[in-house]
Amino acid sequence: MAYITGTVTGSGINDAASGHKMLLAAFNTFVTTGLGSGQNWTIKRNAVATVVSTGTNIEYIWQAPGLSGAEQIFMGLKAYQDPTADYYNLEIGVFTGYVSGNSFENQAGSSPIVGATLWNQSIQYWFVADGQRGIIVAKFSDIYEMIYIGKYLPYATPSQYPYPVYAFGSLANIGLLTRYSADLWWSSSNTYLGISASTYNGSNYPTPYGYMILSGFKGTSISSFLRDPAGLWLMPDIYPYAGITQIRNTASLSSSSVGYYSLHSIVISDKSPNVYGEFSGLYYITGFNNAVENTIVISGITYICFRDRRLTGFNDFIALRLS
Amino acid sequence: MAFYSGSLSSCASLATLLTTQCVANGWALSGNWLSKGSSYIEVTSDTYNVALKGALDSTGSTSPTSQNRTICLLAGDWPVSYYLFINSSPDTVVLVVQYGTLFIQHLMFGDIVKIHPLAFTGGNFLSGSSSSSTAGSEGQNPIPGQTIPRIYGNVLRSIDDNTILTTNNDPFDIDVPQSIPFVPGFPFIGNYNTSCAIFHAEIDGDLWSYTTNITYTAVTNSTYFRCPNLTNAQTTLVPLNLQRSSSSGLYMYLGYVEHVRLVRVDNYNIGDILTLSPDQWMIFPWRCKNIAFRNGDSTSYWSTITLTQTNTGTLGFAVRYTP
Repeated sequence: MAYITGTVTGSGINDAASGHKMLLAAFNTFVTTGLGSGQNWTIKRNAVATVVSTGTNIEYIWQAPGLSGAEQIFMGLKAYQDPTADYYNLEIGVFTGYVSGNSFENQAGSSPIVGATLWNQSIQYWFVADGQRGIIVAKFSDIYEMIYIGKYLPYATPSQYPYPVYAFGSLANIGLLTRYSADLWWSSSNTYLGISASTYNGSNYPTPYGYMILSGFKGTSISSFLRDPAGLWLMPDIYPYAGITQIRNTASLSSSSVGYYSLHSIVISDKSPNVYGEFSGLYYITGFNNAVENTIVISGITYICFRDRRLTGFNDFIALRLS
Repeated sequence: MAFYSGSLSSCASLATLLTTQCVANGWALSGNWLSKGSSYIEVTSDTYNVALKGALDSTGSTSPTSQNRTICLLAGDWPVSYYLFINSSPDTVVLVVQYGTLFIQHLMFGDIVKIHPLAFTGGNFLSGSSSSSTAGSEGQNPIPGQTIPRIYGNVLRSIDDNTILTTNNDPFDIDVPQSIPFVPGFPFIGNYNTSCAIFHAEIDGDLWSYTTNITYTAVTNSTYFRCPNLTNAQTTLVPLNLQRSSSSGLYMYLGYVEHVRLVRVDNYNIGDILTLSPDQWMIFPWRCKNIAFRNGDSTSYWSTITLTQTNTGTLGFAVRYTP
């Protein structure tokens, strides 16, 4: 796995140097040239499309070789924006193939298109990728956005489960036209209540209905999709985030020691039988007495703590392996 | 790593087997006390029990446990088949006894892999299918007025609201706290709010934990309850990740048991071998498999003993195995 961190300097306006497009360009450079021999991704599409009134969209679709170098894993990101509404975001998709004549949103076997909020100014980033998956963490304002595209690590053999892929961001497809400042997206439909819906201002759901914008690493969300062995795109549970248990460090009440922290595996499952596997390079860590961008070193490998957008609860943190 | 199997006809023979083979694999013996690493274990026997007790020195004089954990067998159970696993790094000894064709009891002791060597003092544990206040008794009778020390109605309940579970998210307990280590007993029946495991963790004034404060993490519980997979009929070898509750209601992640895994035995029988190269794992139910009651029987524990009331559903375990 390769890792890089840096900052793209956004223009602050709606042009080719807008922060979200610069981030996309930097990620493309990283995954196509920075992963090492046999692991770099191949560009299937690098397209520019002008949309009347909202400016120029940029989209990439890549084919990754897998860790074996002999696989075909298709995934893509698309920068879109609306300067009149002040949002500058990315669409996220994972596919089963590439069709040159089809739009980004209509690629073969596409995941539900999800999104992530960004902006047009400077963005600090952490990229981790290998031949089968890529992770983006983008820091801007007080937000930490996380994007995951590609394979996860299944509890199954390749013959049982040949294409275990995942796509998550923070925005549901129906909520793509959302500014980064929002904590909720709105719909006139209550279709998604019971998935990731939030009560708002008390016990009753308002109209329109408000849905919490949460990072997809917590699962049970319409911004977080897994392709199952039958080829269906599911919104799985992800533990420990789906549980109610709150974790702290091991500091004794009677001790002045700071206590110890550890990583815990993050496991993807259905609510009913079916346990799928784990994300590659992501681990649970508690937010107890913890701060975003803290690092933990285990066996010489550094892990960095991030959080669910701007949330700081005990179960809002995640650790990214920097290697 | 060593493995022994065969047939024996008395508790004394089982105790001798355990101590003799532990000594052959690097454990020291002083009187009845075995010691290696941070584990100090007394092995005794009487007509009905093979009993374990723990302490913090090799003579048993420092902080001995106030309770035993035992294998408890009656006259009609003999002869029994045994399976003895002695693993190292960290040291873990597991004695499994099979009797009456379908029934299993275990003794287990050793060290867990802590999240950090300095995270807390302790990490050694012992476990037995039955609990006995003294080695000379017939085992702690789980039901007042009953004379046969077997488990009854392993109804799995949420530790939070005592509702009977069909799928599980967080810590669970059972009506009678026997057979499954680190699963606290349902406190409804008074003094039986104990675990069949005893764990040494010097945190917040504790020394030995006998009861409800050491449990499996949410990831372990949810994974255990959502196997086997419908997609490929495979189960997952679930690590015994352990957490400790604290007075604040938060949990501390302590570590995991290296050489034992939780396994749903829907598709396995006693002694089946599961190979995940280079490791092999031998599979057992915790007490008795019953596919009709996958999470244990919900029949009243006051009823007359039947097979379905002494079962542990498809809840089982696997031990790392070197033939």
